[in-house]
Amino acid sequence: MNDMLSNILLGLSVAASPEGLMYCTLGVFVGMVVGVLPGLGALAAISILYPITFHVAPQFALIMLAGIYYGTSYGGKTTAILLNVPGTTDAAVVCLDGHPMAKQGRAGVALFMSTLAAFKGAAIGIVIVMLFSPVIASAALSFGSPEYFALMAMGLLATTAMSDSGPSKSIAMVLLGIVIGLAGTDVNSGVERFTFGLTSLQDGVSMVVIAMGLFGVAEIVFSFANTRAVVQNISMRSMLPTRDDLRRSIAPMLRGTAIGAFFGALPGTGSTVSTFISYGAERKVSKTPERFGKGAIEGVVGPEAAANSADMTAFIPTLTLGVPGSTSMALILSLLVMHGMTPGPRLITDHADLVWGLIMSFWIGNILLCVFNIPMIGVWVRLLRIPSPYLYPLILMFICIGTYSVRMHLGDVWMVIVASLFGVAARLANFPAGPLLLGYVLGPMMEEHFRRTLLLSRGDLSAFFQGPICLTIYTAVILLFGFKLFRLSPLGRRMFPKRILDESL
Amino acid sequence: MKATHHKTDLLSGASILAVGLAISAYCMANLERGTLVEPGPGGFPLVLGLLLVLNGAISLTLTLIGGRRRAPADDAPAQGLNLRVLGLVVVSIAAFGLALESFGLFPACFVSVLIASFVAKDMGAAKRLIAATGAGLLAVVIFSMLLSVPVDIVTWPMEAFK
Repeated sequence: MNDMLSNILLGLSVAASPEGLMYCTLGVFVGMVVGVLPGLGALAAISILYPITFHVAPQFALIMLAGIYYGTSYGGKTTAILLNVPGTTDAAVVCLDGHPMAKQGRAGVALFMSTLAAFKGAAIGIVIVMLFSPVIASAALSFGSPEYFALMAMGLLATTAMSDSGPSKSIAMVLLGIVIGLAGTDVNSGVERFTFGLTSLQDGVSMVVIAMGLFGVAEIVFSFANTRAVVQNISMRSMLPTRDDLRRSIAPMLRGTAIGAFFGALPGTGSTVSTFISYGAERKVSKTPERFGKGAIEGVVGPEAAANSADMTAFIPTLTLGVPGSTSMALILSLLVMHGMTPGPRLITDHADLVWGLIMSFWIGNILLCVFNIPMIGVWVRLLRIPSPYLYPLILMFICIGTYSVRMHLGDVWMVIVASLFGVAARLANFPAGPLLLGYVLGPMMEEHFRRTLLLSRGDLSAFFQGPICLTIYTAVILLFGFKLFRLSPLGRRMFPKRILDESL
Repeated sequence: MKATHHKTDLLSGASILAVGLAISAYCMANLERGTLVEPGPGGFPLVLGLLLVLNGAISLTLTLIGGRRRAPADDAPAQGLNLRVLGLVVVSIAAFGLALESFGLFPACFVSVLIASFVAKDMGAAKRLIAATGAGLLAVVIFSMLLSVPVDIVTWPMEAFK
């Protein structure tokens, strides 16, 4: 208990320092902006601001990127409720009942209650992160190379299993991502791999190039729509919920939080899946399921609590095992690598200030987001009225300078064009970009553990499958793929929550 | 509809196979494979290349047999691509790259935002110029002043005519 208290104080000394507060505010603000803008998601936002983190101390950079990450989901729901356009993928479910509420003139209540739900979900999520991270990290200290290889393989395959594209395409993207991650000079032998004699590739393909091209530019190309939105004004008075609203919301919020906390910590599932599951669960337990899709507050608060608690618990595997469960987490993990830290169970003890600073900044960030969302709602309503063609050129410019500023290398700007064209082509052909990035980040670490396992076992391939931990992990992988195949079967299609969304739309 | 699906499936299977073959061939030709006890720099990439080949081969075979029913998730229609937008975005990035070293940060930002603003067809010339100037100034404030990125704000006309 004393440990926890000193950790909390250590964390606060970082998170509540003037710099910590500044970067946290900046992060959640940018997250809000990007979340509100339809089309751009957390990934694009993190990618675009990624270069700035090279000029900032790692603990603050981490606080900022994390703020963007959870800030987008608060922003996304605003657009979902007001315009029926999900600002982010997490917010797709909130459209179902949030927008009907807005049409009934209850947009204010929907915004208020969803913010409340989001905060409640996040708060419980943070407590779970605080309680479980140290335990999981110390349990993971005994992991060897085979275990890590298995964990990373699970991280990669789980994301593929949950991806919307076919398994063959997402696995192909993972493998390609690993190869791109390996490009450059090999640390062990000093041999150049996949550089094709280009000097700019000797240090490998820059993370920034991949992130900017695949997520930043490719997103812009597809969301550059010349639309002008019609948005109603929201007054503070209209946000007050009725007693009935509050009474109906308590249980869904708690259920949503639990669902989100569980799925957020699992690799590959994350907040989007948990919103679908929460919505499905609320409709199932409701005595009046016919109200869903017509403005039922339970359908707004449950998924919102789920999304935000999942956003928090998603940090557990990233911080304690060094295995990111989603693409956004992979970007956050690569930030640590970039600043010379080794992700893994030692991170939480070796860089306690960084980890606890981040965790405590979650509190500050979520409180700030409540302020942004309730008293300051008018700002976002106005932002929605700016036509996107005015904003996107600016974002594009940030991508250009950002990419250049990392290594002061014009070659990287040309590489962004190549990566963008690849990203656009991949999207057109339904090849998911997320798995590629995850492969890119985990690739070099996987190779290291691959080599080390073989070295220690003297070339015995069965070493990869020895020990209870490895076996458990591979069993989990097989179960995940079993679930995926089941989902694609006629019976699974009827049962999987995604269908609920399709029916309701 | 059915025919086009079949065709895109064939195409994606074939491209996976081709990329896998290219990677494997590159590894075989240029990198040492090493042994199982001590894998060389080409060992792990070769495994990846071969897995890609396997993946591509399986998906091609399944498509050719035609027995496999399409996964419903795959039916999601690809988003429409606006070639004009893509073109403007690429030119805007390229203009930034070309202008940066010979003209400096402000001109590069100005040009790139100006070009990108042509995505909006109904924007007046004055508005475009104001947006581009504002964006350039913002970039100077954020990157040169706040983040002190060592890049010249304006080098033109000195550098350009050297």
